[in-house]
Amino acid sequence: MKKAQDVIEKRDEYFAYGSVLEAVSQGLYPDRKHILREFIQNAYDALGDLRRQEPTAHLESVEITVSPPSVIIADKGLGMSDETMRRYRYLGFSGKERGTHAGFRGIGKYSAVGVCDKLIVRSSRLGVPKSYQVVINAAEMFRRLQEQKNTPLEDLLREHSEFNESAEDADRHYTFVELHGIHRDAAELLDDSIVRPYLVRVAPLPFDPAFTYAKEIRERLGQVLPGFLEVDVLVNGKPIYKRFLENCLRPTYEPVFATDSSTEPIAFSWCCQNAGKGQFREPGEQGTKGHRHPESGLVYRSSNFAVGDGNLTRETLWHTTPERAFYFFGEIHVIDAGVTPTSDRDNFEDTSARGRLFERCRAIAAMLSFEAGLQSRQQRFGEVVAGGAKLVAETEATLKAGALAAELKEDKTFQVQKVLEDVAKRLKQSSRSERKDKKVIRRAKQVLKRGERLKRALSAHGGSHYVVVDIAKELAMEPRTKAIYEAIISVIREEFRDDSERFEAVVRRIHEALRKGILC
Amino acid sequence: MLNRPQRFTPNKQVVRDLQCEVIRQRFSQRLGALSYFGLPSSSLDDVAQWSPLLQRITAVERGGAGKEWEIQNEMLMNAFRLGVSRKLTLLRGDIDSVLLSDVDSYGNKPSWPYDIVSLDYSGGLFYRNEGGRLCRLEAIKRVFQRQAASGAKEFLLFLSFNLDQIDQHEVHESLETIRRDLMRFGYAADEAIDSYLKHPCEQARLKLYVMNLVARLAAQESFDSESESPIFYMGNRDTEMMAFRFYFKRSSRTFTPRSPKERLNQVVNRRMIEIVNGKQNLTNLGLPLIKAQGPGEK
Repeated sequence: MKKAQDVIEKRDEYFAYGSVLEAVSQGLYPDRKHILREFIQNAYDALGDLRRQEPTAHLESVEITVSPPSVIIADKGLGMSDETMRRYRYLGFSGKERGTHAGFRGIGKYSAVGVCDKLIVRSSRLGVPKSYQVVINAAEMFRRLQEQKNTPLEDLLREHSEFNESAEDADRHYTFVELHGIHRDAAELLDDSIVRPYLVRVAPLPFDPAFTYAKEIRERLGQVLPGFLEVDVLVNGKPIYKRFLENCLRPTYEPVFATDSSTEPIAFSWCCQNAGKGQFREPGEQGTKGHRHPESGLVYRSSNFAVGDGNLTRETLWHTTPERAFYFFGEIHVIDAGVTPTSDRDNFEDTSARGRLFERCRAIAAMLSFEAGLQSRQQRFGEVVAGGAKLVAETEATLKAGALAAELKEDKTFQVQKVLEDVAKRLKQSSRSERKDKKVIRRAKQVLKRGERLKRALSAHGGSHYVVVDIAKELAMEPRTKAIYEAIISVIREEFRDDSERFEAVVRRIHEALRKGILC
Repeated sequence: MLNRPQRFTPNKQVVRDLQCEVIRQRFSQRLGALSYFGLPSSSLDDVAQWSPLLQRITAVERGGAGKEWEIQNEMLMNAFRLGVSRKLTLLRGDIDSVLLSDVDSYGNKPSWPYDIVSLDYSGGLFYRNEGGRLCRLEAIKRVFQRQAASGAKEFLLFLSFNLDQIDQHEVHESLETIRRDLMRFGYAADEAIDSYLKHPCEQARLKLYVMNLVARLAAQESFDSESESPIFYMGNRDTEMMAFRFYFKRSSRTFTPRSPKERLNQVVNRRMIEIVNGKQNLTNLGLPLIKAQGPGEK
């Protein structure tokens, strides 16, 4: 068996070889779309750097252009210096700082070399009258890896990348990245209809201007989160925004502290509850309940980039009543610099800081669960009162019109009694609650008053001024016929015991049929 | 070192200004909403100059052989630097191939029709493909076909090229056809056409050849053409260049085949703009004019 020394001509001793590059470029992001996020993260950091250096500078949009066979990610952030651009070719080197920048490992850019033939980066730093270009010849690197076993990583990176410089206006500042010659197995990067929704979900975008609470939330986040930044992004010239869910209540805000006594928050959350009933749902087909809305739930954000989706917060925070996680939509912005997203940002690295974050954020879930329960109860109370009011009003009207069949009296009395009990029970609960809906309480009291009156009217035997329809009397039934009729009605009542409305409808139809058959 | 962006010579800048003037005149009601298809410089200085007039820009760039990505990257980067990237669509490949096949090297298609088609060739007009066909001229013909097929009502065509490798046979044949047509219309064209044929400057013959050719191609697709004075200038590295400006309007005439609406004698008599050191003069190159109207001309 050949020794490594025989396979490659050694100038020195090497400690890293080409397979590392294969692992980074092909193993880092099985979901190719994350590669785009990686470069948007760099753009975000560049814009953040510009704002730190020039606080009044206007931050221009990051532009994503799909121009087959290339994808371009370009920003007018601070730009990179000569030194930074030279180091751009380094693998695993980063001058960025955790907590300040979204990216900091210096490996993400190499995820792109597995999906394109060339990675071309041009950058000019504000105030420097030069632009620098790095070209990483990815296709050549992989060709060499195939031809030559155990190529030292150093040789691979050095010999298949270029660095150039050129004159540029000193006031121009930008970074322009082209992933040229996108491979067929990463064609999704060239598909606008895939790229756009992905970025809408993960990127640090501004809220959709149509979202009523956009300004309010942005201002709160700006006050609380150090260096909070939203980045305008254009995909093929069109702006994209963070999604929001309509029909929501005003947002609530909650800081999360490391301990009960600390004053420095480790996270900050905002969320909006569904103004309707239960979970946010997508519109269903006619008459059916739609699926749970994919944008519902709370999403962790680190440097304003999404980490996981609504399911991650549900799994980590909602240990009881997990369905209530989707009664809300919102975000939990992680401030603790010790909490680091995993490379593919589907979770955080498993550290004690993460454990503490999840632990402390559970209070949010508990509070929201309570809120959801309260809201649910209030909503149900409102529905019960509305239903009661309707039943009472309709029964009163039927009685007044002399159209209530004697056979239905008992059922009606039972229904009214049941509703009144429900209203009374919920009224009692609601009166004890800290958050009272005075309008509903007032209405409930009215329903109870009218309902009691109605109950009395229904139970009166002969003394009531209301007339009920007695079909046996109306049709002058013989006692035997009347007995048969009553027996039939009793069977039907039993059949429709759980469906009073149908029972009522059947009785009415029987009356009509009898009248038609006997009187006409 | 990176490529230095191409900059306009003073002469070229005058050409650009004259083209811009025509855009403003012809599309005064739609400035800012115009669409452009063409061959801008990789610096995109030209398109950036017109950017306020344009809403949509389709640029075709072939790039250097074997390093196509380099100039294409530069163009995209400059579009971003200059703030026109939102309007720009890059088609990668040879413009003649794009016009002939209607797709670029990666299957991207132009979005016809366009208000401005700018074929600013750095080479000559008589470029032949491997099969010996004058593919550039065929490509120009396709412009009219594609514009007509996509319902263009009017458009501008800017055509510029250098005076290298002229197909003398093609030009002479064409001038003889012009002579015959003029004579058929009753013009005493011999003196004028002979003067063109004998003239020491290629631009004289090319003026007539190109204006007649384009007008005929347009007419075949039911476009009436109006031409501006052709331009002769010295480009980069003292290359002799010509630039033409045409305006086309969908014809209201219904019969086919069509002949150009612009009269042939007007084409012959059109004076040329010569640009020297950024200054323009009108000249007829000492060529005789055709004056009398023949009995056949209506």
